[in-house]
Amino acid sequence: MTDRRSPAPKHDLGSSPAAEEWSRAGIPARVEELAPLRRQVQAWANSTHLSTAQVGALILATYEAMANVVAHAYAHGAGVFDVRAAATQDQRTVTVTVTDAGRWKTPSAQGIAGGRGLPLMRGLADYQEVHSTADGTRVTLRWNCA
Amino acid sequence: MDTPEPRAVYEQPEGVNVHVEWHDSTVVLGVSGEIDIVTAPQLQEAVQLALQNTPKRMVVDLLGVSFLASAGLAVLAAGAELAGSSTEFRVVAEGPATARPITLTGLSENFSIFPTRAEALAFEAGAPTR
Repeated sequence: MTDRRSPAPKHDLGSSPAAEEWSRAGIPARVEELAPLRRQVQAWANSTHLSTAQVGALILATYEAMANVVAHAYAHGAGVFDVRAAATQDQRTVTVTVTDAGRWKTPSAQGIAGGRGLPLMRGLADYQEVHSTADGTRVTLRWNCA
Repeated sequence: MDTPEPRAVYEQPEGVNVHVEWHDSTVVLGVSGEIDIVTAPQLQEAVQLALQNTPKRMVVDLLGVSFLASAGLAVLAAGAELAGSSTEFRVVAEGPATARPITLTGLSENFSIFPTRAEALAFEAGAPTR
């Protein structure tokens, strides 16, 4: 597994214009996908300049966003979603996006995420946005490295 | 033949472990591991089973928990509600993994939170502290 808090890889210095990034696309929106994804997100987050507390916040907020997709985005669990995590080249900002193409089920009286997932995401991230259209939903979470 | 299901190489079966201890009329649930959508029902079941014995007090010790998602928060909220006035419901939580999600979602209004099990067990509402 990746070392915790390892410094930014030296090969990144000026060699590539792209930010440090991790992504998975076309993930089946099924609950059994979530724990393995969480481990991968954790490994990636540990390689950024996020503090330990921020890494924990990112893992949980991202998990809640992904769990929302599994629970709400598709009627019969037949859909897919994408997760992308990236750090800016100066390593100061980390952004996670979770995107699905579903038409979210009618929000229950508790709202999305069974009532607590959304407040959790809001409290854990420095910036949080949920953008929903008829074509799908994108959750954006952002942290400024402490 | 019992062939194990193939697993992705990065998957680690973490799960949740609940250790139940009774001290007179107090039940302590020592919880460790990760509480998410998949594992929260196990905690729910342990809480419900223990409450069926109508303990005077229930202490849910989360200090061994490394990950607490909203599904786990829902179990805590439901446990406090099920305990009602028959059982005093207390949670041991501390730090980013456990105390943070609880306080961020306002659950600290649903039950008392203590930073250690000893404090959760020792505290007597209304009694002079030793």
